[in-house]
Amino acid sequence: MKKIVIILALLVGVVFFNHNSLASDPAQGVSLSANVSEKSAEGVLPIPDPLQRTNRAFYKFNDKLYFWVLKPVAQGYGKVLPRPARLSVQNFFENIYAPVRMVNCGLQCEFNEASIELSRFGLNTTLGLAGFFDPAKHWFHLTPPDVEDFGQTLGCYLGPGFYLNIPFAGSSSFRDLVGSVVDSCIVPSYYVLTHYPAAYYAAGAELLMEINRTSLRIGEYEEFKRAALDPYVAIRDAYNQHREALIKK
Amino acid sequence: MHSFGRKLLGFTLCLLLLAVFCSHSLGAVVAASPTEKVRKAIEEITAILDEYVKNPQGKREETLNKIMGITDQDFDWAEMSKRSLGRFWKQRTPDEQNKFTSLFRDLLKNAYIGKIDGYAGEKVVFEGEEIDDTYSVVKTKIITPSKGTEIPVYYRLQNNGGNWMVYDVVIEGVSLVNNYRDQFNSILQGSSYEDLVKRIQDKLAQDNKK
Repeated sequence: MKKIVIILALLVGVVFFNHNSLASDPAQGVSLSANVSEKSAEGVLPIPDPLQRTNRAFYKFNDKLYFWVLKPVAQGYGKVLPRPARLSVQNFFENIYAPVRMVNCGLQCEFNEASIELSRFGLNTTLGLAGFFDPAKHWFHLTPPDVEDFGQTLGCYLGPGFYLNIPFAGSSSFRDLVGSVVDSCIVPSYYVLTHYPAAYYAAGAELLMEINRTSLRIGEYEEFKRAALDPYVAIRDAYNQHREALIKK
Repeated sequence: MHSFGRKLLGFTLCLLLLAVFCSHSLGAVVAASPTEKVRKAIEEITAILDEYVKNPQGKREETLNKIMGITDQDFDWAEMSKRSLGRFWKQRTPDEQNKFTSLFRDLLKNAYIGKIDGYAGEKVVFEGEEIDDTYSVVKTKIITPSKGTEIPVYYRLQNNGGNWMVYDVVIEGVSLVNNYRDQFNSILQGSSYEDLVKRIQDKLAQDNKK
């Protein structure tokens, strides 16, 4: 009988110890909660938005443009062109922008990435039949590095400035708008702009790129909107966080 | 009487043993690393989705509830709500905080209804974890071959007394909690907390009608 009592006491002790050790961790959590506010502040500061009224108006415009024009057109386009073909078209446009990414890799001192971009551009333009296919990835295992643009290059030195929502183009910031103007000097289409008939082709190509891209992403914006309480603020913040994350890479 | 006492003792002993055993097996679960925790949840959810894709008719709500059941084990909804309300959280009573937590959960549930039908056999690749004391990040990538996309998704976890729980999901650099905080803040700055709650309720009611 005494033995049983001793075993019992031991067991109670073990149980108590077990529970105690479990309980001690939340206590630690409490003592750490002073840091929680610091940790919860981790991440990106909200982007200033002094032009909110016009930005909201342009956001509404872009939203309607998507649902009334871009989406139906892209859906029709998607019915005509099968998905693999559209992925090829996407490859073609990504290849055209390779010089932009390469220059910006160089400007950000990412010379390894710059050389990968150069090799990919060379291989895909020739073996990949003007960039419609991606032999650099499939045969030479040169996976595309992270996308770089001049907005990100500026981002190494500057903050975003303030938020902009631009008709037809959507979210941007003062810094990224300057960046895309600089980038457009590297894209081949800039040089054809000065020759009028070719300018139409360039504009047409941009339009095709947008329709093609949209056809591959139908439903994403709708889902994003469904998750949001205030879609304008949600998009503004998502844009800002995404850009800052790209810059940090 | 004597034998009854013994039986009672034996019974208590068994109970205690069970308790010890349970707390030990609990200990085994507790020891699961952040990656194991996330991997298990993703595997379970993928299995549910694979099942749903085979026979989707009329099983949407049921499937969604099953998925929410899994996330309930691994997602710290209270922590997510707290972080998304930011400095406004402390101004609420515990009762309001609880109500807000369940509202926040409903908001995310609502957001995921559409995603169920968008499931296209995506593959999740694990790319490592970082642990910093009681915080950790599990890095994954969602690969969708049919779309040609690879989307980085990071899970942020917090150690709640030995149990790693997700308190934020970061998709392509966009933190879910930060995104909701910006939205909640912008509403709260212009109006009251009651207004925010009403807006969430109205949104949920409206989306459910569709």
